[in-house]
Amino acid sequence: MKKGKVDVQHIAQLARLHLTPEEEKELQKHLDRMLEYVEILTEVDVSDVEPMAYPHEGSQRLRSDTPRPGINRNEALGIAPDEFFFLYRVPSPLKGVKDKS
Amino acid sequence: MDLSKRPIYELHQLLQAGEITPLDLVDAVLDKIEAQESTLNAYIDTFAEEARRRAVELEDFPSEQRGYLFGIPMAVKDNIVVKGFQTTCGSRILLGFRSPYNATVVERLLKHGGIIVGKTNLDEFAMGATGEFSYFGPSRNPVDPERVPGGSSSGSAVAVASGEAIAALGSDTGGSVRQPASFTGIVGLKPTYGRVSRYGLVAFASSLDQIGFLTRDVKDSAILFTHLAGFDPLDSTSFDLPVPSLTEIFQDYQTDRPTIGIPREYLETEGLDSEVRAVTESAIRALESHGFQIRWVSLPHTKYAVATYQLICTSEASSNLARYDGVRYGFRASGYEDLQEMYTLTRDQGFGPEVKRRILLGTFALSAGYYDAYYLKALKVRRLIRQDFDEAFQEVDLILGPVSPVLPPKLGEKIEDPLALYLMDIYTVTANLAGLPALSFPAGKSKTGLPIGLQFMAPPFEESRIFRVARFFEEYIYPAIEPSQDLPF
Repeated sequence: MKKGKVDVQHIAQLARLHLTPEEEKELQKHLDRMLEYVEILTEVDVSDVEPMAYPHEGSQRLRSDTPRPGINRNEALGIAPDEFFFLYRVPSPLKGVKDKS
Repeated sequence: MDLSKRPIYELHQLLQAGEITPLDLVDAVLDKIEAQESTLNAYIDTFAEEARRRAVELEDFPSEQRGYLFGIPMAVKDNIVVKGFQTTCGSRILLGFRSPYNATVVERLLKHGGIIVGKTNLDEFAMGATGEFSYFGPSRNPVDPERVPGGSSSGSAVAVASGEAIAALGSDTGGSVRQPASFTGIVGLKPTYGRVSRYGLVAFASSLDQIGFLTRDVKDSAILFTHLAGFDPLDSTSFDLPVPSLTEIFQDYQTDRPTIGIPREYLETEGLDSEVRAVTESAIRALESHGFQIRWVSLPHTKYAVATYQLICTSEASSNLARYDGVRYGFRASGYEDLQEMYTLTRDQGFGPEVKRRILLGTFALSAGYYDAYYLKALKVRRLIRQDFDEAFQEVDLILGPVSPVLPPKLGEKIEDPLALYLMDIYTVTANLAGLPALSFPAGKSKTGLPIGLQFMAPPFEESRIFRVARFFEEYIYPAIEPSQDLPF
């Protein structure tokens, strides 16, 4: 396993989290400690072992592709924080472009 | 007659005989809620009016369809959706989210005439072992309110243990049903992965999550299991296997003597409390004296379980929780200038500290350059953990061990040390990693009167084996160890 300190700011950016300086300090400490702890797995020889993503592999099956009642548009939009003319409204993806609404 | 502390099958008889009505039951439970909630904080939301109305409407429920769940007031962990009511997952980020649909378990519960009295408190997104990581404040253990009730199904365990519900639904990703059941002196079942539909359970770690049941005793656990388990086309991980009936489950439970394995590694764990060890050993001796074959087994990869679990559950959580972005439902922060800032402010203000810790570890384990060394490695060790169980079950029918290595801690005692909290999961995470059924049941008490639970584990889909021995233990062994004592509440 790779050693070294985690770049917590970079990871936070990937996870779309904005960390305060205090949070950054605490989370840096936590991640370093966890990575030190999971080093224990380097003791295990896993050559020739297949990864196991689910407990019962090969068992998942798809249901038939037939229409069934689902959540209607009004219900779905009714629980949105900001809805506008049957659409989810969000701020501009571009920095500095003012929201016209 | 305090109806709120009686098991489902007794209440069923009283209902059938016309001695009580569903409304009597709802009122009994609501009285407890009113008297105790300011201390216990088991619920995030209660539905007093709706529950009373439902109890009255149930008078028209066809008598031939009145089974065990008819008229029984139950609680639902607040990460399982109930149509029209708020589901928060104990998080600020879902404040205001009212589900437009019912979870399959909720549909089945209502179909059988059950009554939902409220949504119970939990560690945020089911991430925690003490119930303290809830946006709505911690729940308290009814046995000793200075102590935690365990987690993450903290409120469900507290509600059942204190008579604020007759039974409750929970979810178990790494022990979240079994451990709070053990800490509060009740029974908690984590069924086999795929046994109970997860449609409508808010996802935390999809290869580990399973809906489970918190009940006053083993028979009630089997009642919920037989009514709520079974194939659901809406959950692609659900299994199309028949669910045994109660009669089939408990056939010959008084004379059945399966072989029980004790994992050597479980009793050698560093940090195992001496009183938990003593209860485990006395249970083993008692079972042996009743004619059960006891054998040592080895689960050599046990010491890697917590590290494996932490990498897998956080990786899956980081992916599952990516959906909370303030666009489609729940909380949205204010004061943003663009879309990216809206996402990050919403997530920063919406998630609590433990959720952020897990999202970050998971994001790291899945990130470019680290995936093979962490996530993939953990998936390989997971297979070795499962193989340990497969080999053990060649020798024995069931495995018995502790649920938690420690007694319920005091509030605030462990919250500052996340790794210490994770290590409390050592005996429970393995059943989730391997996908096995496991049931926690009361097996003794500490000198200070704190409940100590043990768990039986079985091969996949062999819940019946567990129910039989656990019921035998409950009826014939436990009363001799612990004379019946009422909780202070």
